[in-house]
Amino acid sequence: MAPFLEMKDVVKRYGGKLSVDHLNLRVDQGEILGLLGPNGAGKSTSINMICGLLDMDQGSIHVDGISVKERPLEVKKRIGLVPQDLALYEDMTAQDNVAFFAKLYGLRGALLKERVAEALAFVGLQDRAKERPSTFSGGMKRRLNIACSITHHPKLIIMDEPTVGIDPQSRNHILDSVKKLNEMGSTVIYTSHYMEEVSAICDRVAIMDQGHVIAFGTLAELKERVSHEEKIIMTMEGITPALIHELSEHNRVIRVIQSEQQVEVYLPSAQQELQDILYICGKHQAVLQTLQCEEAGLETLFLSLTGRTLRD
Amino acid sequence: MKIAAIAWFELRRMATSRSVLMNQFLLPLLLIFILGNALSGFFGGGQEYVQQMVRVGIIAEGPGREVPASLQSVIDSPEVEKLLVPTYLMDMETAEKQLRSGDLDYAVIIPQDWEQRISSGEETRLELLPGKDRELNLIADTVFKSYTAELNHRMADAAILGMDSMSAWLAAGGETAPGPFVEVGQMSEQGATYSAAQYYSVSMLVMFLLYSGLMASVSLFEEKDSRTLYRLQSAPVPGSSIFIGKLTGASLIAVIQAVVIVLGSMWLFGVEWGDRPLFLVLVCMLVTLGSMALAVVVTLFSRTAAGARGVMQTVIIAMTFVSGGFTPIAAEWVQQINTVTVNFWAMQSLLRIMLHSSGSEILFSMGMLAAVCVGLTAVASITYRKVGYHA
Repeated sequence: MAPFLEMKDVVKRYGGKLSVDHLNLRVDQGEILGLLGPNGAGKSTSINMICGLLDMDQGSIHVDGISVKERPLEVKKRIGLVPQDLALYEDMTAQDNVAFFAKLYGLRGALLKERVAEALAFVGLQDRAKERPSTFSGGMKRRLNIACSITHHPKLIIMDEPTVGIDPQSRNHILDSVKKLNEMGSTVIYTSHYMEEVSAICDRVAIMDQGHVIAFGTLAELKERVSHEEKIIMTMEGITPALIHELSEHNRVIRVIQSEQQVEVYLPSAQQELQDILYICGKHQAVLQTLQCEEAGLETLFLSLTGRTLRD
Repeated sequence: MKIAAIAWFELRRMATSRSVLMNQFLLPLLLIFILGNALSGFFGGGQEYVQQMVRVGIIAEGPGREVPASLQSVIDSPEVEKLLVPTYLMDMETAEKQLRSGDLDYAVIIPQDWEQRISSGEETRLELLPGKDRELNLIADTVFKSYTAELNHRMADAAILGMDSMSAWLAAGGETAPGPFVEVGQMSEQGATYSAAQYYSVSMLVMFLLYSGLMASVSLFEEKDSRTLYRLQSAPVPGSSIFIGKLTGASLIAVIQAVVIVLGSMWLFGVEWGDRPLFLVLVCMLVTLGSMALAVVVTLFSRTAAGARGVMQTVIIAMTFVSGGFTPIAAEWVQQINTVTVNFWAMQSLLRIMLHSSGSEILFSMGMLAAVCVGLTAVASITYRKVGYHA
């Protein structure tokens, strides 16, 4: 099957620094692709190039078989971009906002009205259509931000961290919306810092770092790569550098990550080594408060590949 | 169509803003009212000006105490007869006494060496004694200074053509000269002056049309700051269409603003805008063009909205000031700067329309205005091509 989006050997430099480094990415029609990467990995630059907002220095990008370089306006007609930052006119009503952006995609007359109503209903804002976004909660603004991008029924929807800073209810609403849009035939590229969101909705995941894709596959395929790892998560008081050092030196421990009062110890089998780990903690007079053992997931893979956590 | 959609949306956004309604529509009318009333003493009442006669004492100190023929011909000319009432006196003391008592408004002394200076080709000068009334002094000053200026100019010609021709011409009372020494005319065809309300209606119309450029500049920055430009640029619309659409929206506001100021000043303050509405519309369009061009240049070179706003305000206020928009300024250096400002030529055009001046006079001012605006537009186009408008 021909890919809906194909990036081949794409390079983008800012000054002398490589932001996107010979990036190759392929997104099939009808899938939801999760795009993960730490800050500065090149995700936003890649999105801007796909949308024709930024010129690439080298390589090619095709959307629905159309070259972004040669026919950027044709490509833009097929894309609905949901920007990370809210891009709304606070002084105009929700309906005006959606209608204005819809007009830019050529919608007019009865079809325009129908699509505006449909988009607002889709994000659950039909009752607030006549109100201005300045009166909305953060979650409602995020939903309106999505509505402004979908009136023209785009074949490719690119969502750049659409759930940043919102309540769980609105987040669930947005995730359900993404699934629905996908079921309605749109291909979706979804970037997020929340691993659980990516795990919940994405068919495949691409992990980017330093301007190129370092891991790509289905969730199952990627999890398989770290299936040999488990982790013990401990919350305790009295964590010292000596304790962390001794845990790291244990011959079965793969890595140790400390954040404030929490320590994560990665090792092949948590159950077999738990006694040893607790002994070391006791030796350093650390007071254990909670303890949890779990299988390593995407977050672990991300960490092992990039050396950083997703929120770094 | 997409430019129209962007322009219409921009128009609606601005029209729903309270600050725009206050600053662009109500404030100009309020300022016309305040300035028009406060400074009405500087201007005529918009009515036909009735000229007072100036009683002038003339003292000839030369041999035979005769008034030179060329000056006598000026005094006796029909135009000057309507302005001056001459009284021929024997000495300066009498003249001074009558000036003090109010029997004379002005006095002129023809020096003893008058004929001798003319014969030797030297510059001639009359001794002028002004009276108590500033306005009457101004009229007499104008007549006699115009006379000596013209006489000296012709003597300079004679220095090249030969003194014989000059002597013959003077003996004939200057009648063979190519034109009269003093010409009295009217600034406009109907001879009316403008009122303070008219003057400030013109001045405020031009200034606030320029302020619509400031609004456009702020809006262009807001689009960046609110990240909506990013979304606009992701839509299938060329970047230039976004830019033109936004400027068109701001220009439409300027058009509405011009209509409100013109009609508002007519209905509220009885301002008469002349009988050439097409010219009036054209001047407003040219000022709007200049305003938008200025906004483009300032916006694209500024890093922040506050910076752009500051520069725009400074430029608009400075141009309004030097063009006499707040109060007429006679300083020569100001007159020289004036010639490159939008305000000056726009005000000249509008005032001439108001005064029912001839078409050629109005078109000259409009032509100069168009030249300034086209120049600004060219700079704006080059700036846009070089700098661009990006999120």
